[in-house]
Amino acid sequence: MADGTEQAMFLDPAIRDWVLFPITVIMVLVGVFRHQLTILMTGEPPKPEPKDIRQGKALMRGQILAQNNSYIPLAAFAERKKYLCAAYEEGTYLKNKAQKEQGAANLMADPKNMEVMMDGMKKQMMGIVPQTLIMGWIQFFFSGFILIKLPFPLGVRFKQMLQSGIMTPNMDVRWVSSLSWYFINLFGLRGVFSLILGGENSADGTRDMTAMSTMGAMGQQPGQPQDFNKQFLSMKDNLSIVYHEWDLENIEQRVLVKYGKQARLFKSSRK
Amino acid sequence: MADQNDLYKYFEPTVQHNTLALSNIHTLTSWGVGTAAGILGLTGWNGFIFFLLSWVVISAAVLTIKCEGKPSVFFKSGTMDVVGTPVLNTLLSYVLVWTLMHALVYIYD
Repeated sequence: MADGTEQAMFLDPAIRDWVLFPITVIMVLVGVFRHQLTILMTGEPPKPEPKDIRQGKALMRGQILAQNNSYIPLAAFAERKKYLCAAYEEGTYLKNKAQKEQGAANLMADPKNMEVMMDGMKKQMMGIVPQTLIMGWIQFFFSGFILIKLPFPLGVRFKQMLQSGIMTPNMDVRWVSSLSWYFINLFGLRGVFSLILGGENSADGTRDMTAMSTMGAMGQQPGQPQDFNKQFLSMKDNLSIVYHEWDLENIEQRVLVKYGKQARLFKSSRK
Repeated sequence: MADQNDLYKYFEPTVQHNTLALSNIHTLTSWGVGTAAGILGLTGWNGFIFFLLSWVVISAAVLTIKCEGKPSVFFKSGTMDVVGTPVLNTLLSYVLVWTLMHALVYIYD
């Protein structure tokens, strides 16, 4: 049989009944199960303390002032700037004033952080373990035979991965084993999950694969190690260099000129 | 300034709801189109061309009927969000259904 002609084969319907459908059904069910389990296991998010919130909001207030400086007249802006800079310098808004000189607190000592990190790790476990289990199960039970023919061709290099258990060097790459059916399902069932479980669902296998590769960044996620003292000081610097320009500067002249009641007498930076 | 306007121009929960609705439309239609492709016995490039054609038709329908011709009212990135972003996900769904149906009709006795 020359390569290039259609390799026509027919498969036993028993394979279809006992392998094709069960793999899909199991993957859907495991996904739903994982979603429900994640919902059960996710504890309450830790209640933030008022001092923590106040820190964050004080920083935001400085940011908003810098961004929206054009909406208030110069006097009002100067007043706010003076007050905020003094407060930042002195550390009125800091959670632990005594710590101001010491720098960032030890991350592990904060009990709230432990809970947040444990939650994150639990979620990752929930993602990785079922995928590994299912892959192992498929390899164990459903290896060594052809399951399906792909309607589209692939490169020769995929043959090794997709026909893993079968020792026939001449067979078309399109005849594949059950592991590749697992992969097709893994990618294709995302749409089904978002139909069944709504938008934010934890049944997505591929999202966990990308999460695994970014596991190194997990230590910075809690956000607590931010040194607010330093941020306050840098915000103070930002505020002091903001160029204030009031939107309503010389508004009387501008309205008159716009409606043609007065010729423009002087050059201004506003049109 | 433009970025700040963007923050206030779109109400986030509604945008998310729109995106979810669009995704549902794409999933359901890709299942229908995939079934058609499998039963018709399309293979190789024909299958992908069929997918692209259906993508054009479905996107046009969504843009005219659901978005009333103005996708930027419903989505943050306008037409790109409707036509470009869901392609990969829908393609994967399509491949799943296409393979399944093709196998059911032609490969099994």
